[in-house]
Amino acid sequence: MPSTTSGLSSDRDPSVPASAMPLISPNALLYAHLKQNPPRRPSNRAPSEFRSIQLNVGSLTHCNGSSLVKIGATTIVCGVRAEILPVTEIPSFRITRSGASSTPAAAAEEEEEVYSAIPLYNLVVPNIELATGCSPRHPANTTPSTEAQSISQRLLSLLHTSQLVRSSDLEISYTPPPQAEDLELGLDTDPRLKAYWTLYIDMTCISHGGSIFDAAWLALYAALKNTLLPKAWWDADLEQVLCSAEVSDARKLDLRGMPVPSSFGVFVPEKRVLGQDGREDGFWVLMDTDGFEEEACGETGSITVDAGSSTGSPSILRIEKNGGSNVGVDQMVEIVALAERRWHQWKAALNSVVTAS
Amino acid sequence: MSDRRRLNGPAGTTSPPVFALSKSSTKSSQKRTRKPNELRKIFLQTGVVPSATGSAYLELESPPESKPGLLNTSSTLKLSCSVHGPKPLPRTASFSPNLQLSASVKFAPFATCVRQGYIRDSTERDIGMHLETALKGVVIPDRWPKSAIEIAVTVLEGEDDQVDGDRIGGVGLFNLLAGCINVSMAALADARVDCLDLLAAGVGAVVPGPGKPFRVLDPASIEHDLILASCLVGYLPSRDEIVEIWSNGSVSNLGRDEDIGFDGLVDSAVAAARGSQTVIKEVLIESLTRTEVGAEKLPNDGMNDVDMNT
Repeated sequence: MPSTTSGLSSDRDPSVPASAMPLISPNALLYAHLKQNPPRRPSNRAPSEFRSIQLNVGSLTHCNGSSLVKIGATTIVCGVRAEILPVTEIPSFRITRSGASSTPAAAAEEEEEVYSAIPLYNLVVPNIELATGCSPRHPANTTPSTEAQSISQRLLSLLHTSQLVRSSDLEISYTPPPQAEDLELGLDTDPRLKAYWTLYIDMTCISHGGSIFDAAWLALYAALKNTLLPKAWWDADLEQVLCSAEVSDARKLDLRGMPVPSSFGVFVPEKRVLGQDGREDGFWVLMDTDGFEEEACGETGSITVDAGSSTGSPSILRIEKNGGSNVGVDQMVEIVALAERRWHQWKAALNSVVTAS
Repeated sequence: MSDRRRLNGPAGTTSPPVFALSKSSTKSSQKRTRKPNELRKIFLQTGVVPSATGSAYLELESPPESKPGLLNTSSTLKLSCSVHGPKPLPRTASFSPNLQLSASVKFAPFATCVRQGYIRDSTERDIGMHLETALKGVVIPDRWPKSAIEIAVTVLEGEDDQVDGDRIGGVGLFNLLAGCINVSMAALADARVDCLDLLAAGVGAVVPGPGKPFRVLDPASIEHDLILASCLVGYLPSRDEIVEIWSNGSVSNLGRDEDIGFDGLVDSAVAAARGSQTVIKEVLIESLTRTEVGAEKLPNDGMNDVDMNT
């Protein structure tokens, strides 16, 4: 193969510049880098090394919460906007008691049951937009690609399965004033649900540089962490929900845990790249793949962990892996350990921003 | 209009929150503290999208924060632009001796006061058309036969403080289009596309003054209660050519003196464009020297060299 026999350095073969190698033969280039000792990636990272995370929150004016996440060449802007969904708009709404229970024990019991409101009424709506010209493969002006649709769907499913947002945070209820005749008749004056907050989470990909799902989720998490919901109440006279414009009245969302996804790719060199002897060099697990590596890796996956639980050991919230059969159980355990490192990296990045603002 | 390719949220209609009247909800109009001939500061950066041929990010100076409030909606322009191409036309396309330039503008859902859907609306298409005609005036198209170039501008934050009145043809829209032209030009230059000149756009306006109306450069919609007439130009300074002009408001009968007639209005817009051009020029020279320094350090385009003989 000409690509494997010609040297990569431009002084030996000036006809092929190094910058053209990813386009000509990505597999050979990646293999040549990884078979060094110790293995290095073209971006000069070790296979298990993550890119650093840059985070900025609250820069958008028209949003309840916003964030900008930059991981290597990947840039994602996320804005959370809260709108009000009156229960009268929900078809066949079943009246339930408000989630704010009186006793903590009952509240813990109800946790599982109460969460059902969010998936039932679609109260969190994540959408990612890749058609912004963020990479040559994502031209502007097009309908959402399969990639964009699947990432939006995965974000939604992770939001639901991790139960990140509490239903009780999104409820707007109304307690009728107690009246003398009600008390005599024994009518209850329990709080009644009048409306729900709906969180529209819109993400725009400015630059696509691989591991979009990780960056999108982290942007989503930071934006939700930054979200301020205004104080809202039911006005019985106007029969609508009113909000207070005071910042002091507004409250933050109380998120459940901190899931952090870590994407990886498994690189298997092609047979023709291995040369005549045909020896098997196995495979490499590349954490936090960039755009170029993503194209060269057939087998990809993502593990979402939350290391912040009280038990100390990280809990795995989501595992996904497809496209090959090289990674076994042992490697998966190693990847979970790496994902835990990513979790701590993200925690540090988030803390530095949250304490600064 | 339901979009089956996106997550659409609840079946019922959600409405933006309605705020009760209180002390902080009353909107205070900020007065213009700049001089009439002073532009807002422009932050411009090229190369924000590494995988694109050229890209740029533009942000205008934000007005001084008066007080924190949930209703504080004074926003500034934040635009991101990427250029892909020139690339060959698809085989099925008919022969073209010129470069096929296409430009589009898209608002992010969080760009405006009221959440906007993902479907491209007529305002975006209109601005896209204006941008395209302006850029067609500056690119030298016969250098790339049978090629196409795509310019995409994403509006991360628009400059509108009214609910939606400004999106039809107000000064906020003019500022947006001027920003789009400036950021696209920077991205085109970053993509090393041959152009006649460094195109720049500016907005001028006539506002009512204490005695008589006077001209201002780069009017921000939040700073003026009333704008009598406004004008946007896309201008090629070294050739003294106008490639795009759009004006609003009745200007000819504003006053007897020529100073605030139509010519005066266009002159003020041209002056604003000249001011923007100095910024674009400086940023491009800076980025050029930066990449040259970087190229000396890393001859192999950032890749570490390895021997590929297997």
